[in-house]
Amino acid sequence: MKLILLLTLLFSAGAHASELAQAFSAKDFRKVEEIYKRNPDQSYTPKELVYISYSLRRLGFYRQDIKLNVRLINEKYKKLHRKIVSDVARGETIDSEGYPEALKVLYWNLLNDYGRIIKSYEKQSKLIDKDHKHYLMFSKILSELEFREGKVDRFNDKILAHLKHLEDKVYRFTRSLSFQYVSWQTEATLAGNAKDTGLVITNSGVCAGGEAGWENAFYHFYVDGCVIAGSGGVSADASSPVTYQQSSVPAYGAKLSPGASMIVSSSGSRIGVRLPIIYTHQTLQDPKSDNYNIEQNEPLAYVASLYSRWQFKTWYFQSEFGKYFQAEQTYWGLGLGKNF
Amino acid sequence: MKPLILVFVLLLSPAAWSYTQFIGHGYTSCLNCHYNPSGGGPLNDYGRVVSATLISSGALYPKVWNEERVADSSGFFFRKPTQNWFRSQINYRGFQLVQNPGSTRSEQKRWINMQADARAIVKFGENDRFVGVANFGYSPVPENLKGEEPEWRSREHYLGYRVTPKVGIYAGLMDKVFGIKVIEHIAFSRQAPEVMQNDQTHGVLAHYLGESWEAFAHGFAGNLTQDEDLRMKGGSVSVERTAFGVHRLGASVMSSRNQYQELLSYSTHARLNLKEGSAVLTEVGQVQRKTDNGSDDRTMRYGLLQTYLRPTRGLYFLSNIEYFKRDTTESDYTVRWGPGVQFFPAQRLELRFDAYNTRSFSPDTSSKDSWMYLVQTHIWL
Repeated sequence: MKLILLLTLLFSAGAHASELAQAFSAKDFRKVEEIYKRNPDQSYTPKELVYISYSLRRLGFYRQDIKLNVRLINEKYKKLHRKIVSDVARGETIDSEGYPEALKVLYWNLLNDYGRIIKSYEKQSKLIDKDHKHYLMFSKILSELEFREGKVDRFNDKILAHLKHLEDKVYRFTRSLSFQYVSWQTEATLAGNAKDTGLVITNSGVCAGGEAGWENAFYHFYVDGCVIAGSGGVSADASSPVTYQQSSVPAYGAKLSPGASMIVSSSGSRIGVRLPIIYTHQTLQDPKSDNYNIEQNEPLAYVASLYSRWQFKTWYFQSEFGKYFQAEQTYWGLGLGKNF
Repeated sequence: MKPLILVFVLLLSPAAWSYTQFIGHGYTSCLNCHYNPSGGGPLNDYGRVVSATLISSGALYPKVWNEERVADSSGFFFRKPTQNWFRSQINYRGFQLVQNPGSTRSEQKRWINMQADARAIVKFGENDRFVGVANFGYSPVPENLKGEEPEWRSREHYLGYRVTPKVGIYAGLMDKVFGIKVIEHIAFSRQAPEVMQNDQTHGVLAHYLGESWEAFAHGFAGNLTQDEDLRMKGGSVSVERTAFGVHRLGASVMSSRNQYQELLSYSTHARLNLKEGSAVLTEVGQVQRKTDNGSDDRTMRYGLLQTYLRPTRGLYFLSNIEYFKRDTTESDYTVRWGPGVQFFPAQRLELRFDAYNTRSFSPDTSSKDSWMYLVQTHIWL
């Protein structure tokens, strides 16, 4: 409101009471805007133009306000404006004392209008570049005029932060190759004539593959796939009296996981979840007895896993801890990857 | 089974309050926040402010409180100290331990009061040049040792003097300086070299804190409250160097012996700053053990990889991966893997969940993994 008072005083010569002024006095900004909209080209007094400008900003009609402020500048300070634009472009020193306060206020209005327009964008757009260019021009002019420097700096910071936020929200396609040490446990049954015995198979190996997906600065959605090669030892659980043991039984397979992560630091480190489907093939030898045979579980397993990644530029370490659905077993992975 | 559980949980509790992962907030040296330069034990005034502001979630604070107001309330019983020479602290930590949760094997649950400490600190001179720290508290004793070991004991008591801001000398009962002082004393990296819950020792610690180097030399004579034959006497050296301005790389060596065994431990470690509070801690080491009669001579090997990822203020997601080989000449080894969550809803309160899935690898046998989880509450005043 101080702005209004200042501008009203500066532009007060010849001002007269009007329907517009009455509406403004009553803080009926909508009516002020309606009056202006009915006849925008009417020859308003400078005081009325200030009322209209303020009302437009209050109502969020920033582009109309820009037009109005430009109109005010052109009507009152055309030469001065051309000079300062030219001087700023040439990098010349500006004598802020040589410019009237009212003009500085109009520049401040324009800075605010463009700033608020930029802040209204919720996603990246080519239109932002144009508005940002104008914003930067008025920011530069106000800095040269040493007008409300602290406020201008703070507003600049907010605009920069908003532009960065918009940039951060943009999803980009990403892909990487990875190599992991993995370990998983499965179960089998040693079926006997008298009694069945549970067997535990503890495997370890490597899983080589990669992932592709989309990520922005906050989230990562992707599909990860890798080929497993490893081996494991199998025996009856320690509590069982039955003796069955095999070492280094080869195991092959593949793992496919859709996943989603939340990126928690500017380094790109992230935590998330994956839903791997793991196919493994591993053949256990039947015991040399007609009374026993091996019954292996389904080769396909469904897992829910927690995933974390520690990013160091394009390289990353990753760890995965998964638990099989409807089973006690777990799947682990620890490895290295590189974004391309 | 109960004594076994208690032996196990004794290994779980932190001897002192030491969060080395806060390198993720830019704190490379423990001296920033603790009176003890190797970390753990009472927080200094700055440490309490950091704990109240940077570490704890602000969600429960009154909305009208700014950071300065929160910092002012970080003292003992929410008060701003009115003098500069005395500080006191009280700590409680308890947890629910669940073994074999939801398993076909028997599930076991119990609540453990793990820690109840009262701490007093006297300090004088510029930048706390002279400090005296006493920390007395409760520590549960396994059933089989009841009556032989006290449940209430001095966890630490020492005097410290900073000769210069870079050099300090500390003498008294303290944790041995070795490797990364992670909070989990269940960690193989703390078990193998015997730097756990109740392994404090009387000794003299020299500390150097330079621009990019930090070094400790610790000479110790064992815990003088123990019987003479049990006291582990020796010394340790630990060195860390700042790398790329924000990370720390280090190495430690420690030699100690009593009448029954001799340990030579050596390790290398890294503390990596992943920015905005997230960090990775990693350590690999070996411990050569010689027994007086040669019956249990062996070299143990361990590895630790611990991650703290911080999605928002006050909240940390953990990933804990450990490796342990009881005897390097044998093929058997154990890997422990587990996720966890650590939450500081407000200053003076920590809630934590840790799951542990332990797998044994052996060419001869294959056994089911063991499972366990802990739900911890930690309160300090």
